[in-house]
Amino acid sequence: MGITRASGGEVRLFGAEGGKRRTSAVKLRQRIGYVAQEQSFYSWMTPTRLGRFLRGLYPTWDDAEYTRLLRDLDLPPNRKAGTFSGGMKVKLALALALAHRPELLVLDEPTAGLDPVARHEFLEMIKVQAGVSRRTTFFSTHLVDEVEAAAQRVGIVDGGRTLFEGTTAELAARVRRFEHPSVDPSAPLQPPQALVLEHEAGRLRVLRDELREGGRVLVVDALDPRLFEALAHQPEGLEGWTMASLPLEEVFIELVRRPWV
Amino acid sequence: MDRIVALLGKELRHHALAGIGLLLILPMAFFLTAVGVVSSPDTVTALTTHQVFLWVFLPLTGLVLGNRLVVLEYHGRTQLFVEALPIRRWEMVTVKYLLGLLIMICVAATSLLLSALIASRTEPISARFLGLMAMRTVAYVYCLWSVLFAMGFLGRFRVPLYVALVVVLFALDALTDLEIRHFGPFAMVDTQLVLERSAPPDASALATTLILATAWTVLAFVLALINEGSVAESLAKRMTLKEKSAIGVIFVAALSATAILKDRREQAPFTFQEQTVLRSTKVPLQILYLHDEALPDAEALQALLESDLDSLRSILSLTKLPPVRVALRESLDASTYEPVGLAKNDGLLLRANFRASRRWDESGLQDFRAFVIHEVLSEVTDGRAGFEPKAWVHDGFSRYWAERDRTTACLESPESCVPLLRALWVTRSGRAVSAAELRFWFRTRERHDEALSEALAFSGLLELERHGGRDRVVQLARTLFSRRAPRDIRSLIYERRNPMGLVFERSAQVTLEDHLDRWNGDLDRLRADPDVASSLATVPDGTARLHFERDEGSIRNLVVRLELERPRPAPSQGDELVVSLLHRDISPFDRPLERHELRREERLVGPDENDVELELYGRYGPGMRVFVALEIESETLGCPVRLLAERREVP
Repeated sequence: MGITRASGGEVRLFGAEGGKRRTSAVKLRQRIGYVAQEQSFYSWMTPTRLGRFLRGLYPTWDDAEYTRLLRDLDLPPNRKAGTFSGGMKVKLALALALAHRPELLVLDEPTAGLDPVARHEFLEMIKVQAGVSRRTTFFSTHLVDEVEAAAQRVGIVDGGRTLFEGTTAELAARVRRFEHPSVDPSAPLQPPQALVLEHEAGRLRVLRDELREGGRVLVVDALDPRLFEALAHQPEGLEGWTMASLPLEEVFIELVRRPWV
Repeated sequence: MDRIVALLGKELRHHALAGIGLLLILPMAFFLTAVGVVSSPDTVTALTTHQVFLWVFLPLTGLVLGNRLVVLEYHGRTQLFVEALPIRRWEMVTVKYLLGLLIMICVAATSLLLSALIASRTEPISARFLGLMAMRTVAYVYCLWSVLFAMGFLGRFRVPLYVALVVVLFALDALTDLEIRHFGPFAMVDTQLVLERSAPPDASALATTLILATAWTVLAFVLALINEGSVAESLAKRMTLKEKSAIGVIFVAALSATAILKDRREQAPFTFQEQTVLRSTKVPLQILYLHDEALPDAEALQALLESDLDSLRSILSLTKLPPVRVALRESLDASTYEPVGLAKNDGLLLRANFRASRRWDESGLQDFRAFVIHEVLSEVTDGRAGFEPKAWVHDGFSRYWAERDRTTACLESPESCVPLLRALWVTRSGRAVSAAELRFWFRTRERHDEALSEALAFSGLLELERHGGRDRVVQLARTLFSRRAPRDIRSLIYERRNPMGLVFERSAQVTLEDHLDRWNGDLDRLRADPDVASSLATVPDGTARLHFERDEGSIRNLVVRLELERPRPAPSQGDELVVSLLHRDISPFDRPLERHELRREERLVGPDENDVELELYGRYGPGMRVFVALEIESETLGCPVRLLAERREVP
């Protein structure tokens, strides 16, 4: 969005490289709706006044759509933005971001600081909007339940590197927990042979390996989730071990946490 | 273009109220400036209104605009909202810069045109002259706005930087030979702005102004745009405690360094450039006499002052006397002396009419000698001689030293000793001089005015000489005026630990109470002398009373009624008396008033007029505090006698 200088990497927008040619930055922004994490509206401006200000900046601005959005979002058009609550400000930002019918909607942690009810309402609106308009909605969040509730595709960025990119189903399918209920103290339990072989072949990595309450727990990330299907159908070398999927939040935690092996 | 229009519309709406405020305040400021300039007797041209406006009100306008357009935006972080919109950052900054510049130019242009309109009634204003003023004005405005605009982006550091900028300019002006008023933008709005009608401004000053303006503009844009505006954003955050402490320490250190350097700086002392100057070889004394006819008077004055200063240096053991310069000014009356303010180390410059025929006789000459000694004592003590508890000795000793060769004659023939006659007139009704009068000397001085209070103090020192010899008087003066004291709190502590009563007793070897008894006794004795009584009888006297009388509405008339109580002077001294009403409004906090601060209404009173009424119609309204004095000129005493001196609140 041009708010912060890029420290590296590249951005591709609408099928073309963006962010490098400054002359195109304004045109690109006119195709994007943006909701910032922190709403910095002029406190003296009303939603109506804000609409008039932004109308001159977006060629595709739609007054009727803006009025409809204000009505749907239950925002008073003639009240000063400085008197709005945090939730109302986010809704106003969403209305302003959508009123010019952008091809892409970018939301930067839009629900940060909102109470659970406002957060739920906001996510519902995002889902409805995305469903109706069929536009791409790109939003960042630290709350995995939001991802589960609203996202179709997800990317995990950690330390500036992309750890995963794909659908939520693919993400959930990628990690499994293997658990053995008991361990003989005289003979330490070895990891299952099937996993050792796949690990040596470079097709999986162990995210966690720990002894717990006399048993052993392994959390494993398979680069190809079909590996787990194969292991489920042919459990040779997995005797005594159970394999289970994890909730999305735990998958996220296991992926982001530093691997043990 | 749509984006520029949208941004401009947003700015105009955002700052509409502030704009209306400026529209209301600036015309009033201009009007008051114009009234002040036009009504001032020192005004050369009414165009000075424009110059004053550019110096005072335009910077204030710029500060308001810079605060509204830049500081408010970044402090409120609303620039983040704008930056996320399809707008280039430089467009936002440029709109703000040009809008501010346009408003500043409009304000300055209006000031110029209105000033020219006012001035055109009394002087011709040519198109070329107007053009030259416009050129200087625009260059100044460009520079001023660029500085204020860039300062806005410095966020939390802008106020300390403003202070630092002022301190640096002050230090450069005071500590170096660089004359700030002739530098760059300051030269654009110096007196040449309204006086130079044909020549364009100095090219180097103009170039400096434009270069400075451009540099500040570039700085503003760099701060706003560099690193995607993050520098300006981080500067706009609140100051941390560490930063506040650091700036406080730097500020105090800079001020201290400036003060120390200023004190240490050796300046070439002021000197007369003319040829018609007498220069003493014994003491630092110069007398400017202007033309050859005044040379004999100047030489006579030089001989006397040379002797006064040389002996003063000797008795006070002073290593160095301040340079004393006397300039002849024949437009002054004989009893008026004008001290001219000079820089430190430049000593004294006094303008006086030492050729005045009527009063510059022996009495007038003695008055002037006493005045010079008084000023020299103030200078050598860094003003400590005027500390109220010892101010009576300061006044009395100045006169005493001017009269030092005549003190014996004074005591033998008091009727021919003018200062003693003055003292006797002050105590004419047998009223004793009290310790309180000496302690609160400023009140005593206000009640009797300078000449008579000085004479009263002189009589006290004369009495000291009569009983203990001159050494006692000299010892007292040496104790009070020769001590070199540092210019800090140590002097104050010393004064507190050595109260005047104690100092007097140690130096004069008599308690102040005993001295007052002797002093009052001597005054009584001298007053009983028939020759003295007959001289005092020629001094006009009377009873004066102050009234405030209600007129229509809240109008109050100030009325002073005087009953002359004795026959007036002999016809040889003139048939008419000059009665003066002195007055002025005063602040709630009392301070000594200088004679030149007072307004004066004079009236001639005929020989048959015994009841005199002086009235001021509606000058002072209810609730105002005023000082009022009534004086009558006395030939015998060579000075006016004060019959009334009151500070009152108008009912």
